[in-house]
Amino acid sequence: MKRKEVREKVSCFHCGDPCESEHVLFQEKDFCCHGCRSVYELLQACDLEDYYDYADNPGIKTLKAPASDRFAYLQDESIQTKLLSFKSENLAKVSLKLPAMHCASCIWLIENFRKLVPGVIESRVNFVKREAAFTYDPQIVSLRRLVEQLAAIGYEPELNLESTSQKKNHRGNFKLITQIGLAGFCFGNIMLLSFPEYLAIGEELTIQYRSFFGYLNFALALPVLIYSASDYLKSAWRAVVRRVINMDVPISMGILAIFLRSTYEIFFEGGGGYMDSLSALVFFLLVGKWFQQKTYDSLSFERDFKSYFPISVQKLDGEIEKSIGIEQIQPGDQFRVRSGELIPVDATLIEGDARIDYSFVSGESDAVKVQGGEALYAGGRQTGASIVLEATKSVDQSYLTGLWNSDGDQKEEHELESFADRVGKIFTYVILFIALSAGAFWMVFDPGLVLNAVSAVLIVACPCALALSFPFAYGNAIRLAGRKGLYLKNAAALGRMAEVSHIVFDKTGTLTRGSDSTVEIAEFELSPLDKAVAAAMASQSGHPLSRMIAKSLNAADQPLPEIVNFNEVKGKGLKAEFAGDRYRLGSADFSGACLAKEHPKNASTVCFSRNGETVAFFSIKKEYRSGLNGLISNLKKFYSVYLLSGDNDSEKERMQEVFGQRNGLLFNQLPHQKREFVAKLRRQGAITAMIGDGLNDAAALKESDLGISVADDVFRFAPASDAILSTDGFHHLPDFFNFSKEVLKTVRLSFALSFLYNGIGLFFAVQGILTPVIAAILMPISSITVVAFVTLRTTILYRNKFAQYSSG
Amino acid sequence: MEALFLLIGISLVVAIVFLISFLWAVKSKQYDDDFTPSVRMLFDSETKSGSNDNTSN
Repeated sequence: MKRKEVREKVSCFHCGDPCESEHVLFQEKDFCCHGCRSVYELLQACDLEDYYDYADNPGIKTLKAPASDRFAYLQDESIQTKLLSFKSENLAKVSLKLPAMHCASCIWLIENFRKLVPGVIESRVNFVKREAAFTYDPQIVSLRRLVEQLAAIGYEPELNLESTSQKKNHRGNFKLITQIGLAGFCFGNIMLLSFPEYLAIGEELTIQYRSFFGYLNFALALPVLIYSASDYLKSAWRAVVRRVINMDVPISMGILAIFLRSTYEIFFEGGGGYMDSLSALVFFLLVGKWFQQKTYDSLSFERDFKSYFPISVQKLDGEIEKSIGIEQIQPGDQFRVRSGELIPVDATLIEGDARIDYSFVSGESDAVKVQGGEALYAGGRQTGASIVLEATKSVDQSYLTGLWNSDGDQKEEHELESFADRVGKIFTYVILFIALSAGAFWMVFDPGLVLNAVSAVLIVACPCALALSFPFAYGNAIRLAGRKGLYLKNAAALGRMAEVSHIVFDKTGTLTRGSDSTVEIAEFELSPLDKAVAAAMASQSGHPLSRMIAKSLNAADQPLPEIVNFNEVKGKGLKAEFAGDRYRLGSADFSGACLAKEHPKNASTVCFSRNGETVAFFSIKKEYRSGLNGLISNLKKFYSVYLLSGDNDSEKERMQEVFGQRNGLLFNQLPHQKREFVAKLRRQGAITAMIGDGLNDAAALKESDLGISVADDVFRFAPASDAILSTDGFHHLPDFFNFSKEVLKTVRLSFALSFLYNGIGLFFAVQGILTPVIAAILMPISSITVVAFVTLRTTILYRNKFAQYSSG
Repeated sequence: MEALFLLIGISLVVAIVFLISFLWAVKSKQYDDDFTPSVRMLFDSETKSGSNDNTSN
């Protein structure tokens, strides 16, 4: 929301926002609103002023005070049991997601939370996950009070249905780090014990020492094989059983070949074996895996409808209202939905004035008025006063949930075979062929060398460098893309991005800037009082235009006059009276002659009149993201682009102009139609990227090969997808696509490089003269050069692609 | 030369002690959050000394 004038450049001591309409001076400090001042006062009273020392203006602007019973459901025993990780009579533990944390001061304040709320014993922040674990005494402070107090200082916890489902499993990461640690430990020790072999003093050592070192090496290599390498072996085994070949098959062949040959040498020939190469290989592979995996802990790519739904509803049992978990709702139950809450299940309206905003589900932003007895669908947001509904379905069977679950594991089937696996397949066949040929050759000329040559081929051909180039190229590229605002879920997502041929856009929130529209006020004789009345009227309506006007007039931050006889005429506007004057806010013919000087293109005009006389008019312009035309035409050079909008076709012309095409621009699309459209493209063999936001695109995002969800705040809401694109990075979209292609090319080049090393290794191997020293030199060198090559090339590519924009 | 057996044995034991302490550190979630502790250690201790303003910026 742009404000035209800024009176003076004073920023709020608490939150750093410019102090404008409601400049508050308190103890010689400037505050932008009473909310910020009261937080400051509260912190000061609790001796927590240090908060302001660790970062400049660390505070979070607190919005309008939430309804007092907003967190009432937290008193419910069954909901508490789901949220708490531990509870006894005077000790309880809970872990809450606090997405508002953003700086060192936040950490300090949350960790000193016990000073603010008596009864809190300890609080510990995990900033990376934006989480805090609280230990408190339920005798002194309730969970509800704790959460309310957090919300009061601006750190409202993210509480939704998802937080009550099972906690995510963090064992995966623990296992990987343990595997790396163990492999690293064994690698180091085996290398030390192998030194005599490297220096060729092995021959001079007595047999006693040689076999001692050999047995030790064997003992150290066992855990590497059994524990650290287990994932590769299992994956390869599964692939073989399913009669497919992936990258893990040649890796496992190499690992097993090294292990068996070395064991044989150690026990039967008194030699040293290649255990060092084995543990080094496993160690490097695991490090690569870790590098690739360690991406964005704090982002959630798996959000489903649960993360949008409230935890509980107020169930009406006769006269008594009771909070129950939403999964407990049965068809026939009556429950209350308050203003601003989401309807959790399909239901019929029993009582109250329902104005439902289905923008979450359909993308259509106008609120729908529903009559008593009519059906309401899950996902709608009530914008009017509180209503009473009767459930017709349970949560699991509602339309929205059904949409989500309908395609189940279809995606698994037509998952693209990754480039690595394709290479792995060819590679495996070639290596087997060479090994067998070498074996056959020596069978004829020197049968004693057969085993030696065959195992050496398998060892040297182990695609270590090949397997490393992927994780390092992709891991590095994902990290670099993250710096510019594209957060990819995993390497597979980046791989698919490089192969995309069709791109489908959503309109609202993706190409337009969601709620961020410019509101321009043309004043005729708008007094401050009139302005306040307009703000009061607009804030009582749930209509999107009203909301934008209310926001532009800062309705939330100021006391508003008590207007009477408020009435909303659907499709026309708002009527109200104040101090004997009749006010109207709405379309031109509704609010009286509205003499707009000129009707701006692509803008909605709202007139404001007092006693039939126009006093102001607001023109509201949906703002498209900057550089949209260039962006689309840029993408059109390489991709087929489409537009799917849940909105009506009022902006059709504008969109045709932007896209430079008439076909492939569809309006009035419902979520399942969007999904169908994407599915149809995919059936035609197109690799499709869907770029959208909000729940209405969720099904299409899930259906597409690459779902990118656009979000203003990546730590907050974003539907399940393969990537989250911050709105700051939106203008880089063509660069991201281009970058992904270049990364794939880098990987291809690195493959060529590693084949070169394999060729050299094979040269020794087929002759049966591969010594441990050559293996110990060749393998790390090939790995290191390949890793260095891909890391450097992706970084240079990133610099070239994004550097010229670095200013903005 | 027999000392070699002993020395290698000792060095392995020492190395295993470090391996175990590493595993313990992983298990006690010290690698879960690599940012917060770096900030936490800079916080002043309990009592606020009024004149001490060096911490800002």
